[in-house]
Amino acid sequence: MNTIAHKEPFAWLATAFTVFSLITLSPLGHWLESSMPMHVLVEIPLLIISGAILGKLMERPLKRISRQINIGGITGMLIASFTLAVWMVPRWLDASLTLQWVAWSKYLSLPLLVGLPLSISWSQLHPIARGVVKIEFLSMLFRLGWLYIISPERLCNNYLLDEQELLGQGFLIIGAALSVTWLIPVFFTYSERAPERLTSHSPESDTLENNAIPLLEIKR
Amino acid sequence: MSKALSTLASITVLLGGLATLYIATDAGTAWTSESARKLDIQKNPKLLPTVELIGSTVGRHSIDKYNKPVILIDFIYTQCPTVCIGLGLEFRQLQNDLLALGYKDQVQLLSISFDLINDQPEQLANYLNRFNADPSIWAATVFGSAAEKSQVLDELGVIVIPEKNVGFVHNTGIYMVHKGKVINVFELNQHHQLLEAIISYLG
Repeated sequence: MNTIAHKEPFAWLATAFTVFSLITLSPLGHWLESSMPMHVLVEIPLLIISGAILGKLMERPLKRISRQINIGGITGMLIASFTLAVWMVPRWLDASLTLQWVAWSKYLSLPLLVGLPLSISWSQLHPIARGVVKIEFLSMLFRLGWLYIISPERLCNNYLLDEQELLGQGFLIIGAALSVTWLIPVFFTYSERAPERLTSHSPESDTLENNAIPLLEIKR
Repeated sequence: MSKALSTLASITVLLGGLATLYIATDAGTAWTSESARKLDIQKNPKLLPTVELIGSTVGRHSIDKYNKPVILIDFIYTQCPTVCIGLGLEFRQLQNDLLALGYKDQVQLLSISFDLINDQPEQLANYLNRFNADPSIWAATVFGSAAEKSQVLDELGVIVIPEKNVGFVHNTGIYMVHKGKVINVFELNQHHQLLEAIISYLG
């Protein structure tokens, strides 16, 4: 994505802009919002992605600001998390369908305050912090999925109960799929990475046999 | 230097974010627009718009005609197979309790239908019959026009969605009107709180 965005900046800018305008100005947005699962699982991610593309394209000026106030990507991650959290409150998702100002707050905040900060902060984030964010994101999906499936009451006045259940199932499916995709590399890259870390002091040793020596050195 | 600035920025965002969530959920009390709506009505009573209704027996009349000290309103449509039956049964229970308490002249039960096409005086009369309504305390009406319907439903935050199997899906509630203002909304399972509120208003 990084290299692609830089190779064809105008094509990517056009893509982001088209997605954004289709959702906000054309009947497509209205159509997506007519269904709760489409609203949450298609429209919201598309808005976030269009902001992320913009972030990648403006990487250089954003990195300059980032060096001042976003060291380690913490500030950006916090902005993105809180903004997303607000739109996960059923009340505001609901209000975005009935109040114009809330609708536009959603259309602007998801790209600019979630997608954009996420795209410049994620790569800077410490691997452990990244893991924490992933786990928190997964647990959010499972929590919301469970809540939407078992809630006997409609959480949004604009949507029917069976749509809410469908969204809950969607959350669980995405959560399960993400758990698996994030878990696979943990198992399959460990054996490759562990020696890498050990050999960092002696770059000439790249076979497993040679690694035994620095391992012993560390122990000593 | 810039590390301190960055930490300061993070802390500012953290505090700002928490404050935003606090405000956005009314201090954690209103996570859904339904609870927000009820909280809003309790805090800022809404003026009940003066609209025309068509009754089961009386024809076109102003909503002002109902001038007992407390009016309880529910929004229904007579073909409803689900929630409105719950509302109807709750109104019947309230009718019986209020008559037993001697509140016949103090409390009015008013069912207003938002189904302008199907609900004519005849259907409204059948609805009242179905629940053994006593006409001295319970009236069934339909909005006089679509404009008046949206005026009232918008003011109170009632959202009606057409649905293929059951006709309409709508958020329910029993609206308590006192001196021309909607002062509270009760759920179907809040029978006792509702009666207590009436007793406290009427003394």
